[in-house]
Amino acid sequence: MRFYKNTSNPPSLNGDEISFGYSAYSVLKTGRDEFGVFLPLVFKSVGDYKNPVPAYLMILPIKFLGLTDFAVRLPNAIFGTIAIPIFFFFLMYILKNKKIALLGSFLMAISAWWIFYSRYAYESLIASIFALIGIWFYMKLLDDIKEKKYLFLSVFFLILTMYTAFAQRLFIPVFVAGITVFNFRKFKGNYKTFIVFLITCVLLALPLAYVTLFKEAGTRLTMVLISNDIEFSRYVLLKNFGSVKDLALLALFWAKRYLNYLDPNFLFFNGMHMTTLDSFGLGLMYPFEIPWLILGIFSFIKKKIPHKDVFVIWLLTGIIPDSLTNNQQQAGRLLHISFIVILVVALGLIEFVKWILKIKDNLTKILVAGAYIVFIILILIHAFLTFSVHFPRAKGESYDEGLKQVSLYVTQHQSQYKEIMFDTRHGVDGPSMISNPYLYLLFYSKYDPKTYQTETRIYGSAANPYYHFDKYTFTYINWPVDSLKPDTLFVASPWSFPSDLHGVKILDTIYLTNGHIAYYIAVPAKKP
Amino acid sequence: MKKITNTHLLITVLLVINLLFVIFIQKSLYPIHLVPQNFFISDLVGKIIYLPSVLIYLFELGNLILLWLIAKKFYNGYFALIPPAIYAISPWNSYLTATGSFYIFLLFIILIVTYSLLLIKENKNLPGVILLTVSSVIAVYSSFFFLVLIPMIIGLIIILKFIPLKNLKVPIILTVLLITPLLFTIYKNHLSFKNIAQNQIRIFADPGLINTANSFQGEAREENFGTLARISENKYFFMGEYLLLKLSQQVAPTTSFTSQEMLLNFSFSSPIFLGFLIPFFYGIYILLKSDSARKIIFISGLLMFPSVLAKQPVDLNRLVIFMPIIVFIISYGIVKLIEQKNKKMVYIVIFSVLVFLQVLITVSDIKLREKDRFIQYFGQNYEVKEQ
Repeated sequence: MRFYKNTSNPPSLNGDEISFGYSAYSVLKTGRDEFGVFLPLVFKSVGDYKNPVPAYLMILPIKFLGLTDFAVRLPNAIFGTIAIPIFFFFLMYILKNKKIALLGSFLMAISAWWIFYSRYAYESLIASIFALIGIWFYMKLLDDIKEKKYLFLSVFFLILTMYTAFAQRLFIPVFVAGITVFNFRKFKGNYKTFIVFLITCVLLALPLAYVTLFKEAGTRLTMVLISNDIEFSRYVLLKNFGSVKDLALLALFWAKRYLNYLDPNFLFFNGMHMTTLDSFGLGLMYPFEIPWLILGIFSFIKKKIPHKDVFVIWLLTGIIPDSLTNNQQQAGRLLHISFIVILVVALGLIEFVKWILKIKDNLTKILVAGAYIVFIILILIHAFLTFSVHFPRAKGESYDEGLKQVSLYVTQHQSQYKEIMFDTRHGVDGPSMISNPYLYLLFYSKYDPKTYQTETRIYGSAANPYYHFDKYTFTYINWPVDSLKPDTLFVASPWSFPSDLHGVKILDTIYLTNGHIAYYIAVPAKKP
Repeated sequence: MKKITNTHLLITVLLVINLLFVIFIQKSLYPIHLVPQNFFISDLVGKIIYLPSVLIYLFELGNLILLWLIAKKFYNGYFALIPPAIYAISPWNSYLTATGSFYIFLLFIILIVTYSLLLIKENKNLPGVILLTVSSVIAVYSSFFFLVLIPMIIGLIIILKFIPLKNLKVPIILTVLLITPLLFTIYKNHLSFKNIAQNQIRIFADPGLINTANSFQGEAREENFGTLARISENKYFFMGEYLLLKLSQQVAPTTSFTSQEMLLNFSFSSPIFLGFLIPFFYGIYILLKSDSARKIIFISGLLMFPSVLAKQPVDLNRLVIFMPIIVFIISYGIVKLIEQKNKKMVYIVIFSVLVFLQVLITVSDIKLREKDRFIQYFGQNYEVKEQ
């Protein structure tokens, strides 16, 4: 489920994947990213300063498999798969109960939440596994305080998490602060160990803190903060956030966002955003897990579970990073708390089965069990159809579907043209989506990184988006003017051409999976 | 005697606080108001009878007193003041009263039904029977939903053995006799009844659900999965999922404790202050361990159905009749926290501080921004309609 056809579903590498892939390729070939920075700590990419670990993890697959979609997605597929045995051994260590450990790892194996993010290069999945390992070693440290290796292993994996995904840059410090406050007494007699733990965390995180706070990498942080949320400005504060007096309302708005993660629609019905709005997709958990989750919460509270306080801190602090952003809820940014959720559901499943077995009347028992099994099967069939049929159709354009085919065409035919112009705007309902086709061109043409690092690049401004290198131009096409340019190939969505295609010679049409036109590749019908 | 006098004094103070809060909201939001709602019987016969605002204010105060009277059946002394205190300062009921919600009146009726059932359970049969009969009849004549809900609630109370059937025979017979004219009116005006039902039950009014089923099946057929889609992506399956989703959204913490569902479709005030979430979680955790409490919560869950059957995900106007359940769960949590104050003092302090701060922020926000917020959403048409 994690590997099968993962290069065609999701239907395309998205902008982040392409960017990571080409950056990894550039480092593999030259030791530098596309901006010429030697072994960068952050990848500037399109100005969003990506984390280094996902790119570095792609280097080996790209070396052996070439610069391909599969090589880019392979690390996530592997991590998504090995997460299952890692989680099994983690549960065995904590609960010493093989039944729960097997149940938990089985639930993870069939979890839509995990399957979805294993099928494409989403850095939070890898980060969450590092977080699990780091917290596991922390628990081992609590159990055997004198074992120094657990201290350093815990710190290593927790900090590695921060170099892997954005959400973890906030989660790990908040988590460490939480366990400092609530676990300090557990280090009684061994405070030196705890202080070494904290200092090592700070030292390893310093380079990242430096680039985040003092270099342009902090740009992304300010862009995504909840204080810039449109809903907050427009409908709550009724103005832009700008003073300390607004903090009170911001705090309440944040509390609402935080508790939204308990919204049943997000958790069980549509949280994965795999289908169009107002239709039924998939949540982080399946609807049949609702009673298991409720029973599991009671079971978790009542049972004697080692390091329960660490789990609670993990869960409560784990939601904080995503709740502080101004985007909609993102299931992927919560993967690091999925382990606790799946553990609770596994506990609840055992209670649920016990409840069914307690039913005295055999016929009632069979009917209840049978009806529930039918319910599970129906939901799983719907999940299968969502993954394989509805998701590629609904979300193709969000994954920049079509740009691969466009790039391959351009690579094949570029020698015939003096200039190739791409319009960065696209969208079925209107030219409202902006992508970075230059990245796809670099990737699929396997553009020489050394050449790209050194050649002249011309940038426009925010008001006038424009980017040019070699013979490629990426801008908003103005057809009446630009069609007069000689020997120019145009690549754009239908919005950039005359609606009746008068004066346009279509050389190729690229379709989305849902049958809509993504791009035309065209030249002016009459040469000037 | 001194203790009783203090309690009466405190309940009077709560009444004044509630009234002042409602008046403050009304003045800040004026002229925003809810579309007036007709009585069920009036709708059936094509007449219009709206409740005047002053009566709604009186019913609001009546709700507070009834909550206190009901709480006295469960708690001793000052603990009985906790539910009315929560009610007095909650934006949920206060906003709805200030804007003339019919459901404040329906809440009053439901509380009388509840109180009368408690009286009957205590073998105070005469007042209990009279109150139960009168309130049930008024409820059924007033609201389409109560035509079904009142019999279901009483039926479940008997089946789950809270009150034996013999104690309820008289009010049931009397109620049936007194609603016979209503049943006759429904029979004679069955078209009006059908219209009322269609207007009130709008859960599947949006054709989006059917369209989704059709479009999903079309897509699956293209991939040769048509049979699978017919089994698990048909309209009945999606209707069932949608019903499950709506049911769970009524009880989600975001609904009652944050502005996620927006009072009157625009407000940023949370229906119940967020700080009360701590005693709510504690209260529900303890209550769900008790078999009888689970049964009471199950029966009370029927009061969510008017909101479940609305078009929007959660209709806070209709859901206000379920609010007392949440208030009592919070109260139970507070009582238990206070009883264990030696161990749980930090939680008491945290929730009290949070509630206090949020009261201040909310009052300030209502004064400064709520009306402008309404205009931001709806312009200057100050009438809040049901969706």
